[in-house]
Amino acid sequence: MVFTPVLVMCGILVVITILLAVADKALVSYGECMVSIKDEHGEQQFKAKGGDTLLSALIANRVKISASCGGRGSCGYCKVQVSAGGGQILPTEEIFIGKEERKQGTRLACQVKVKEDIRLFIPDLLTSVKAMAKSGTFDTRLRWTFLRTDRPQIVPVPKKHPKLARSEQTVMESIVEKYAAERGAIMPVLQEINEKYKYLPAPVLKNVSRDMAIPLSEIYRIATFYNAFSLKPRGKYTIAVCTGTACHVKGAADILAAFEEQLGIKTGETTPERQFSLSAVRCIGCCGLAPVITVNEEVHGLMTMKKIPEIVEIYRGK
Amino acid sequence: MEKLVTIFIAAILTHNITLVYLLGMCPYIALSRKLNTAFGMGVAVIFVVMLTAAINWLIYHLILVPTGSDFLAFIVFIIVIAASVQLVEMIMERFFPALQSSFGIFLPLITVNCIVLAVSLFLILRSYDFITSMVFSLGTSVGFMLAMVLVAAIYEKLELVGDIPKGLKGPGIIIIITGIIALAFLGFGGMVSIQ
Repeated sequence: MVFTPVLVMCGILVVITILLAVADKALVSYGECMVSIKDEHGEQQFKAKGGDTLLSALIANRVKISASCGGRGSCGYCKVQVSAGGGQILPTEEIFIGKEERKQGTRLACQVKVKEDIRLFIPDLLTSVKAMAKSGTFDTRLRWTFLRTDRPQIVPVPKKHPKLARSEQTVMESIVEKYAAERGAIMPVLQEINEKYKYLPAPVLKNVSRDMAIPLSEIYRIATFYNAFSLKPRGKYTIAVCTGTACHVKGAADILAAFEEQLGIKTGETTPERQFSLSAVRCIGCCGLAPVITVNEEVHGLMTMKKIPEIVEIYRGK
Repeated sequence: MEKLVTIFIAAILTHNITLVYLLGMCPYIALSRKLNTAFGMGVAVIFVVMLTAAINWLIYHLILVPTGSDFLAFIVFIIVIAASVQLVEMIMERFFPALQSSFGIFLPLITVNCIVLAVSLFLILRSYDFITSMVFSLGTSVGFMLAMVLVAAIYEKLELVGDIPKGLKGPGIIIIITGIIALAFLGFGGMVSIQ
């Protein structure tokens, strides 16, 4: 039996262990640090050993904080607002902490190391949820989020893509049904939807795609190709300023600029109350009336600057 | 000198550790979605690979070989790698916190990156001397960084176009890109060679 390899192995292990232990002692000690905590009920202070994680310091001092993963940074429950002395946010925390929270200095207590005096605020989530449950305002079917303002509160998460209302659903279904027998009927369906809403709302298109078994990408392709369709809300009246050659020579650019100023929007945009949309189009074939505009189907020719406010007024009330 | 240059070039191109040996796939696939994370990981790998290769070479030739216990190389290397990364992290946390936060999560991740172990083992298999070892480990880690940065740049472009099929998003498309780049790297094949 040769024992040298065993000895060598043990020797290496011992040396490494000692090295790490010494380094740990020498490098990761920050003395005693002061931790001051504020919550809805008051303030408290205690001393913590430097180098420990904030979570272990909090637990050792019987501060109520939830941490279901036990401080491994995988549950994201131990959120605290650090107002001083937490250092930079770590990459391990980034996935749990949103933009808003970041601004308020939210950190995961299990990832913050106590290196200096720390001041923090721990929102009492559990008590607020309990109070809400008692008063019957907490609906477990909704998703809730925590609003971190000066008076923290719990609010439902707003839904990003609202489902179609029942009435809209039937409108859409009736349109789809009308053309169900025809092949390639997507165009008339889109046209009717466009007529109804003045644009193509995304949730409606998704339902159309499902009911007609046409890929959404195909619908998107059609909807973006034709000028008549828009994916953004459009106004009740679309003011189209002709910028064809004849109109251009007669000063269409100035007309367009004047409309922009009058309506307070840029070309391609819609006024907030959805009354007007403004667009620039190519020749519409009435060069004799240049400079010419159309409002929906109506043509207004021989435009002058003076006429612009008048035209806007005519359609504003309609 | 000529041999050193040959080894350096070969380690980057013809014997690229990622694209030819297909080692270190886990961090490679996970971190090659963004150019700057890929770059950060690359720099961290260069640093750790150089450091551990030097330590492991010394331990192997000064301790393990003379005592006839060179069969312990695998286990000793792993322990040394883990310990040295730990040590480096402690030192950085204390003295260079800014540098540490810029390395972020990559440094501890590297402990389990098989490229680090592979480089140390290659040094022994090919019985390099110390200088050659250093050049080889630099070349290898630069090769890893090169592969990651290449793929990350392509992936960023692809995402911008946004036409990646649903089933291929993420790792799928990265593996396909890797395959095509690896094919391209085969073209370097006859240029230089080590062993």
